[in-house]
Amino acid sequence: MASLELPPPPDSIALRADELFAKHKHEIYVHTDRLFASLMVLQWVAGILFALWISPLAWFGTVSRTHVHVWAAIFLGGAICSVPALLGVFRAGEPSTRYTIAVAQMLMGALLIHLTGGRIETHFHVFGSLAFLAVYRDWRVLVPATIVVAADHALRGVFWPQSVYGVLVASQWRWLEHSAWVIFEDVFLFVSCRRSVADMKDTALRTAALEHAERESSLTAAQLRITQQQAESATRAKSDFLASMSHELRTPLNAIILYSELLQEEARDHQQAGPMKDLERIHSAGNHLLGLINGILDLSKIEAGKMTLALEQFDVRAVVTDLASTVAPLVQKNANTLVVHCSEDVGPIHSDLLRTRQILLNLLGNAAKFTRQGTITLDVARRVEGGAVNVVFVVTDTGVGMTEDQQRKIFEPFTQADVRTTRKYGGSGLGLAIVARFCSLMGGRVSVESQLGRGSQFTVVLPVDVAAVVDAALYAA
Amino acid sequence: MPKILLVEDNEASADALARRLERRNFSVVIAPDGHQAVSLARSTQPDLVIMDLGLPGIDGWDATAIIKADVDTRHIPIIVLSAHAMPNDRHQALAAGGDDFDTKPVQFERLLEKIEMLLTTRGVSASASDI
Repeated sequence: MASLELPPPPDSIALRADELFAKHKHEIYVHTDRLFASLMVLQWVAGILFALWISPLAWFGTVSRTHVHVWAAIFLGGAICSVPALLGVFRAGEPSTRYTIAVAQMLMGALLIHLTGGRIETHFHVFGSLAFLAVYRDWRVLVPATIVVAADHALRGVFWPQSVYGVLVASQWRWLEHSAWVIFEDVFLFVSCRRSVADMKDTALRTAALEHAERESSLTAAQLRITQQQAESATRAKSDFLASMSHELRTPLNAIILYSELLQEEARDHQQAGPMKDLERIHSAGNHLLGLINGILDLSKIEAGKMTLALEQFDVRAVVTDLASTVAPLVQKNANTLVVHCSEDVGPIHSDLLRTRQILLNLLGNAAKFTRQGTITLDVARRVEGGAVNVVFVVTDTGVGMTEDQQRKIFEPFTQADVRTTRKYGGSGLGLAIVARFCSLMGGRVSVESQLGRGSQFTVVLPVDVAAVVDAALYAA
Repeated sequence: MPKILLVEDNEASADALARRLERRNFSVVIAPDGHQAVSLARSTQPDLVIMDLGLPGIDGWDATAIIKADVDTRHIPIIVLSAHAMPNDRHQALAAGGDDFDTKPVQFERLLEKIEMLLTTRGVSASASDI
């Protein structure tokens, strides 16, 4: 038995979901880190341009020099932006990177506010930055950012209110108002981050479940395939075994039949009546056994797919006439009459001659066996059914007939109508099974109608051209 | 008396068939394998060969082909016997050079008909009808 990996336990879905979620989260961190790395450079340059535009020069006594703001924008801005920009490029995805970025982003806000002379409008940078940081979907980065904003406002509000509020004197508690607005935004961002993360977890779980289902179904398909292959190879092995068995059985049977015939001839020569009857029994038992072996061989060849058709063109009327004379002794044995109706226009058929003959021989032989002092009729005609041209053979007898239950099983191997029938009439119980299989092999079909005590009617329909109906592979060999 | 070379490895089958043929006034030489079949065909010059296919050593197909390839023996008709009864056996037997084909267990009367037919066409007087 080929074995398959056991399907994973449901726990593995949760594990896989965790894995998918972590991967997705990491991708967002990396992506956002890169985004901020660019933003850092942009803000640095923007800070310098602001400084140059608003206050490029200052008077020191009578000398005009570059304003200290320009230097602050270049060096302080550079110091704030360079570390997070580098981390964003080289250590993207690390927690320390995004916390550093959060702090730097807020410090940059503080610098820009200072460079614009404490303009209240520049405070919008703080709110924009918080929203940007929420792109991480990690609410924890909002904490250091908020602390930096609050501390900056508190310290500068006390020691240098002009730098942060643009006025020389400011209320000591103004930083609290600013911090409150920041926290106001933080609450929304916190909720949004949590929602986002929950959605990501859901998606991961669904993806994992889907993956699991796909794996399951492909496993099931593979299992089905293997089971099917095993069944097929088992059938082939069984059939090969039967074929070689029947070969082995034929060899001694050959000797038995030949010796019994030899002894019968000798007994006849010496006019010994005594052993004649016994020898006749040995001979007929040998022939019965031979019939069984032949039947099993035929069935096993069909099941192994080794039965090939030998196609040829032949005249149906000639075959029917020939068959009528072949079965004549069988028919006369039980004092039956054979009536053959073969229509003139039945014409030729392109099929397997030997198998067609065997089908009809089996059916006529059965009819003769199960009928006494009755009539056996063979009707043969060409019939067109829905575009297909067929030859229809109908074998009717006035014999013992069958019950409906018996009719249902009659084409299965080893199911003569019942065991008593076998004992009474003999036969292998394979004849009709072979008829049914030959018929389907040649693209045709066989059916039965019967009434117990009245007789039976077997109808065989064979296509006029097998090649047009049956897959070419069947008879290519 | 027409001479038949019977190539058959199963002793009982060979004996039974030989004795039945002898009762019909054939003289029978038995070869139990392919090698002896080939050499007996040359040395005894039978009127006909009955060749079993499954043989030890050289099998029936090869023995048939060798006899049919030899100038001294190629004129001898060969009936190939097979216990397989596969449709391909017939084609292969005839392809190897066999003149006719039959299946085992032997239906003696049918085999006799085939023997008589082959002997008649070769101008050898058939046995049973002579007596």
